Amino acid sequence: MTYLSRSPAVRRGAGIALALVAAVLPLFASDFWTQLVLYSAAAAVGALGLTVLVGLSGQLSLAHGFFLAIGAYGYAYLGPGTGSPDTASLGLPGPLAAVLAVAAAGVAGLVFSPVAARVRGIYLGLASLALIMVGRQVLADARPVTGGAYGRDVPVLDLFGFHFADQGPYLYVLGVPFGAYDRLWYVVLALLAACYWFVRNVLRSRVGRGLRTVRDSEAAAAAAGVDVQRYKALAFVLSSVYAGLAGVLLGLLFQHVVPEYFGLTLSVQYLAMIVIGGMGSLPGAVAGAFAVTGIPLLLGQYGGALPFVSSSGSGGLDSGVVAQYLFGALIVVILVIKSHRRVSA
Amino acid sequence: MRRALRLTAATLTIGAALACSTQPPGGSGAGAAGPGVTADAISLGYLTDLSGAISGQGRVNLAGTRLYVDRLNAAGGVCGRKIKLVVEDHGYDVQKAISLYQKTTPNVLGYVSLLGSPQLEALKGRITSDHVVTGAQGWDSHILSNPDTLVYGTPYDLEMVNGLSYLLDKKIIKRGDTVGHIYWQGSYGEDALLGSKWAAAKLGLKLASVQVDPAESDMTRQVRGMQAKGAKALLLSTLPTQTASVASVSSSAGWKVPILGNNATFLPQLLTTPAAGPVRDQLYLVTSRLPYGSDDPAARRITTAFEKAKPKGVSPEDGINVGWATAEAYTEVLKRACGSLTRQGLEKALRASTDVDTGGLLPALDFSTVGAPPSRGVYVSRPDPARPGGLRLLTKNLYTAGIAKQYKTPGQG
Repeated sequence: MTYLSRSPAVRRGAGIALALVAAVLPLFASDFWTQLVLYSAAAAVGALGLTVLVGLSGQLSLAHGFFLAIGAYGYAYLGPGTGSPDTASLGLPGPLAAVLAVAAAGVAGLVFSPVAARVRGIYLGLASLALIMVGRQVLADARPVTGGAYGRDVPVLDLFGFHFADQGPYLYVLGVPFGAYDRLWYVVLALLAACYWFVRNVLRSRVGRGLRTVRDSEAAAAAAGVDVQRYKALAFVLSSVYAGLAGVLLGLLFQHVVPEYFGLTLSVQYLAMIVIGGMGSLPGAVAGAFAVTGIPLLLGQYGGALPFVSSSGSGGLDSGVVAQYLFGALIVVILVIKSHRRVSA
Repeated sequence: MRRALRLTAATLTIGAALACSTQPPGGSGAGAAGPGVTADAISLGYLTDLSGAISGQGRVNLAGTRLYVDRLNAAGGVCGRKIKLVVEDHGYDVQKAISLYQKTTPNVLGYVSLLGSPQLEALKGRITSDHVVTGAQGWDSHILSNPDTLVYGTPYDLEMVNGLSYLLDKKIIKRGDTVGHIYWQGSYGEDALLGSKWAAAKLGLKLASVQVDPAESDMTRQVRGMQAKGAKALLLSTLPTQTASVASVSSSAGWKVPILGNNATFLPQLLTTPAAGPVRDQLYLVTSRLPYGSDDPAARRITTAFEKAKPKGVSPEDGINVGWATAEAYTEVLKRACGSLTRQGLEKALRASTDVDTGGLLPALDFSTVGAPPSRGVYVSRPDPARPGGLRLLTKNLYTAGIAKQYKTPGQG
């Protein structure tokens, strides 16, 4: 198995097969599955960023949700506007707004990175917590930009007259109506693939080796001629750019963003993704994103079919509660199995 | 290998181009009955929180709704059909709520209840474009401007307008006094603040306000602040636990200040905590539904149904009446749509409903104008451990302040 998966021909074949399946899936899958994959794929972009930061450069961040918020709200504010009287918009074209929102997240990461140069490990994690606090207050108070507690609508992405996430122009493929999620499908998956490819190449380059050296020993890295502070800042910027992009994508999927979503829980969920997938592993981050995002949705959808579980609210054990137990148990099981593997490898 | 690939790619491109079209296949085939409507049942959605941050409220409300629906179905249902509730638990998660909304929408005519203001905000656009008549399990007056959403009673801002007027009427405070509003960060508190600000200006009162975080449980700082500002009464738009803290902190300092809470500030469980005394002595509550266990036919039928069914894990409290009232008001609207049980039919029936009657459980509700509050009156009550729901009515009838009629909600501009 290991040999096979390392042979380039097989890998390329598998890649092409995966791409083909992905290309036609929205035609066959129900809305639920399309949506599950889309939410997970958008989260995977964010998880890739976090795994570079935490797994590869060894900087613990609890502020990932903050950078996601910058991406989502940034795009909504810079973009074409939704006609809502409560929130302002700059009215830039969608794609430009998306690029600028992602850049803004990157700049925020750059601004915060000097803090990362000063403190390490758990202390850095606590320092990054401040960003979440600041973010929450800003989201609640900067009303024209964020809409306050009510959140704000996210404009649809409009590319050369074709609306993503909207119905115009109406499109039918093989007789299947091509809805909002089907349209975003290709944008999100293409971006995930591009992000994956880019970060993989970065990690295989000098930069990637430099980052790993910094993680393992800053003194050794400095002795080998690696500019430690610059590398750490680079990891922070890269990770926040990825978080910003994930924020833009999630905003497009939600069509409306609310401040509650971007709290500490979200940051912890992203940490869970990369821990489940294995710190620093890129396929692991993607798999972790699918597990953390997909499992609760799956249990919500099919939880009622589990034995001993009553339908919601009719007394007895609720599927929602069971879902939470199951999810917790799954994380423990995955971690135990994984740590075994690491020992034997 | 390369050629084969190119060939495949070309075939796929052509195939894909041929498969695309901007015309819908076949006819549109709109039937007479809307989604979720069969010959003997109407399915209605119920999106709530049974496992997350506000699952306590979600469970109690759902129990109340079930009591009403069971009674209705036993009596033959509505429009010659039984009501089938499609309950889904979003666990206060926005992402899950969107997913569950999409799961249930094709199979339900409308939603009796959607709990959680972030969830409602996130789904607002979809609800409007799908024309699904949806009951909001919240009383934020901002919701009123959504064309397909109904609010079951008097919104938070008008509760505060009435409450302040009541305190003045009863000479608990007087003109020129300072009142302090401690309110939640978020739609519940901020909407209530709109009302208290407007009413204070109108009634010649001075208003001081302080925002609290939903997670804060110790209100010492806020209470001391208000005492320093010389407040003669405190207004609360908070959680019951925060109410308990406000009451005990102020009374332990010897400051027996009257407290006016709106909507969700009280739970009967508070009367079994050490804060029971101060809560009983200081709190006034304004909401637009009859308290649980009141001596009124509209409330008594709920008490009877509750004691007969004894739903598991739910105690008798205000939330039971909320759940019952939502289902009853929604059913009353549904009755007017019996002739055309479609989404459009229900939408039309909603806007044609000017006098939805729940036997006095809620004020008469007028849904005819988008943006306008369905009702403007409140019931004023005080904690009373002797009553089954822990509340004793002070006003036999609805209390509607003179100025409440002039108040304009945010949607009315």
